Amino acid sequence: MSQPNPEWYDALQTNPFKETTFTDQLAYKVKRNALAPGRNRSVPHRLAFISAAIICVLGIMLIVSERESVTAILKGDFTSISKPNTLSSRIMKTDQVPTERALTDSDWEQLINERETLSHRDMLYKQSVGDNVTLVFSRRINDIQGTPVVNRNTDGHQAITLAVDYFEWNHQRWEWSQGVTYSLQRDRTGALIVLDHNKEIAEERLVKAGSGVADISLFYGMVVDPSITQIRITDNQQVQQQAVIIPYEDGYTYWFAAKPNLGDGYQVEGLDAAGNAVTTDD
Amino acid sequence: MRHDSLQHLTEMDPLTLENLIAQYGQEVWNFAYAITKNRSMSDDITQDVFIQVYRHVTSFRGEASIKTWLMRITRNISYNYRNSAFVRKVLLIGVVSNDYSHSAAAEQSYIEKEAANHVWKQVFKLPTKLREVIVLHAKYQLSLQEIAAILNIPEGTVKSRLFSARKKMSALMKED
Repeated sequence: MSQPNPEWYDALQTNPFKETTFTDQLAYKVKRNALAPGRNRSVPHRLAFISAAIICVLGIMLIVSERESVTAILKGDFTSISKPNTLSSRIMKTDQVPTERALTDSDWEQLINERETLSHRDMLYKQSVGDNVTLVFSRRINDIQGTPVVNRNTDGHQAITLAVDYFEWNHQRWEWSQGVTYSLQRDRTGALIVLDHNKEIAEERLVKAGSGVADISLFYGMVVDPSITQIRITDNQQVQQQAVIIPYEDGYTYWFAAKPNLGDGYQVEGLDAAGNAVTTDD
Repeated sequence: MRHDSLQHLTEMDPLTLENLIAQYGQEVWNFAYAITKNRSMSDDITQDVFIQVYRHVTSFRGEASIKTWLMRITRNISYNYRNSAFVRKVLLIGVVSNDYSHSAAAEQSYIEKEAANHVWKQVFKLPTKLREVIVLHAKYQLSLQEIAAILNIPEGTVKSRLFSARKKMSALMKED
């Protein structure tokens, strides 16, 4: 703006109210809850419309390719790579494929978007499986385009696509091998709409998706009910694993887990901070 | 807090969090209130912002200032809260749910009584989209580019909204 600021601008330099609204007590509570194990959110940010059935979509995608030793996977060789110290924002040209194993978050984000034709995907989390496989969990939000299949008003609706990409270290570079996605919608009010037995319902607790790549079973989704601070996956041998909870700057909380594929019979539960089940598979 | 002190963190330590809360807590609350005009909701939004900041410090990529980063997170979370028609939590165990149902009239009464000055009272009469631009420009003294990044809109749109906001403020100030 080339015009000078109006005189009343100075009056806005103060806090909006006479009293201090961010009190020491609130500051203490914020710090305590941020540091508490798991996530303690005081109130939900999601609308609860109706009681929702939890959908667990299990699709196994078996694509024959060179893959990690099954033995290594069954031994639980899932090593999380903590995010690199250097958050590089360098832009790579398409012919400058990184040849080092340790990629920055920006590099991974560029890799997952190389094949993307719609809007940009944001990387949420990555996990290594042994030395030669990396799983990258991401999400994309975009406006719904095209003619709706069902005659309904989707004005203002957006599609949220969760994706897991499987990269292999091959020929001195990370190569995309396969990937899975799960899509849901966000309507005008912010409610998350999922399909349950071909009917659209507002999910009020836990968005759950399940898939498989190579010999790995994937579980991922979004936490809707903020009383859920843990997600537990139990396999058919009663071995339990906690999912990684990923609060993201878009205000949503995502979650992700990968386990060796031991066949069917997984159970996914959303638990509160005390370990009580808020959601279970029925 | 130094901009580059966060850029290379993979995890945040409690002391850094405490410093961030001390330095930016009120500003985050102010911006949350500017969007929601609801004190309880602003308390909860502020809490959620710092939970996210603590657990996801690596999302700070260093290309923006810490303030801009915090304001962007605050805005996203504030709109998520606002977009709910009502907020109610049904739990399996008997935890009291928070309720934001104290009325817009009660908040308006609070603004009338407790606003720091006459200008703030008028700001709260603006539509949300104009209010957030004025607050970011006048109170937080952010550039058009920074505001565009926070609101995820083109700079031209920021300019246009700022022009409209100033015009409306002039009219409101004259009315009173």
